[in-house]
Amino acid sequence: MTPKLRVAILAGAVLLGAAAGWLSLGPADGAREAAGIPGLLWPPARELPQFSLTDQAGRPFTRDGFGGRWSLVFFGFTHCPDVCPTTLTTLAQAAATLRAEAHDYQIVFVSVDPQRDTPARIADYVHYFDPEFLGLSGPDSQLERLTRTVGAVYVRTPDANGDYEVDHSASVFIIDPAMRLVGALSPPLTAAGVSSAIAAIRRFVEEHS
Amino acid sequence: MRMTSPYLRVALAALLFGASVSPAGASGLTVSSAWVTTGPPGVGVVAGYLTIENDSGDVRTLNGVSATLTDRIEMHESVLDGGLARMRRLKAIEIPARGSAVLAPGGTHLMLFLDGAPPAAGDTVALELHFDAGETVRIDAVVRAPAAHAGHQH
Repeated sequence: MTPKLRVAILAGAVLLGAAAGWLSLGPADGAREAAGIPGLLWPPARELPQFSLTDQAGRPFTRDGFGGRWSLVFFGFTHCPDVCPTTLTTLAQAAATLRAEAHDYQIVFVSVDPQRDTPARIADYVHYFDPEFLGLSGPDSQLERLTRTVGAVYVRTPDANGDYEVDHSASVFIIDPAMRLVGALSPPLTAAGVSSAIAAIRRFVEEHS
Repeated sequence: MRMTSPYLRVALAALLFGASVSPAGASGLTVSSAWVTTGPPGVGVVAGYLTIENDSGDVRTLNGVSATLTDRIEMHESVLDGGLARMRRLKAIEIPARGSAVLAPGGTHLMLFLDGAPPAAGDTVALELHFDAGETVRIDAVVRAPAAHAGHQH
């Protein structure tokens, strides 16, 4: 290979790389920015990975459980007196508004405290807020597959009484029917704010998919 | 509406929330709008919220809260730290001179650890607030379902 050819190949590779970079940004990225919808994260598509958790009835819940419907996902734990009940009450109110428009919404509470939160305990907990809520948990290895992809975080911190607190993301994550993360709403969250933000995100994703 | 009288403010709060109001003692401390959350069966912890007004010229300190319902009540603050909801235990809550401390959902709150079932909506939980200088203020907290986040979405 001549030095000239080598330079030409290199230049070609750089151009291809730049083109790929431009493509991955894509025209829809501009559309996302132009739309100015709070909480919208799509594009780029961030697809959920495979994972294996357990639902409130003790049944396996995998990635497919997110398919074909719109999901609002909140990470928390049942030994959480303030932020979790407040957020789940807010989501129950938002869900009532959203379900008046479409029935394909599911609200998913994911406990990041599997040691204390058994499926039965999670069932009692989520159904108190809304009989249709789903409640998941599972080992850290599986929880982390989900949290890492959506950008959620949780940390267990020992307290003075030999118990522990769980610090966790306070955002509500939005998964579309194609099992992609398409949005995240950060606090402060109100029922009206959540339902209108999700309706706007849904409209955008459906128009641009 | 601007209300200058603390008595009017407290009376209105009592009207709105149906909560009892502890009479302002000689010390100038008034506790109002006290409520405790109910919750799912088997829930280990519920929250308590209330407002403390301090009409005196001195900073006052709430050092602890007790109740017959449970022998373990802690004071906590929910803080948002880079999108992470954290609970920070407070040793004391300061009420500024001629100011107030508002314990409300998503912020400072009482954490009541339960042994049995959570209190039922409509019940009352008698709280004793232990302030500095050995002052104790009693108030009946109404039990209600947790509230949704208030305020505006940004």
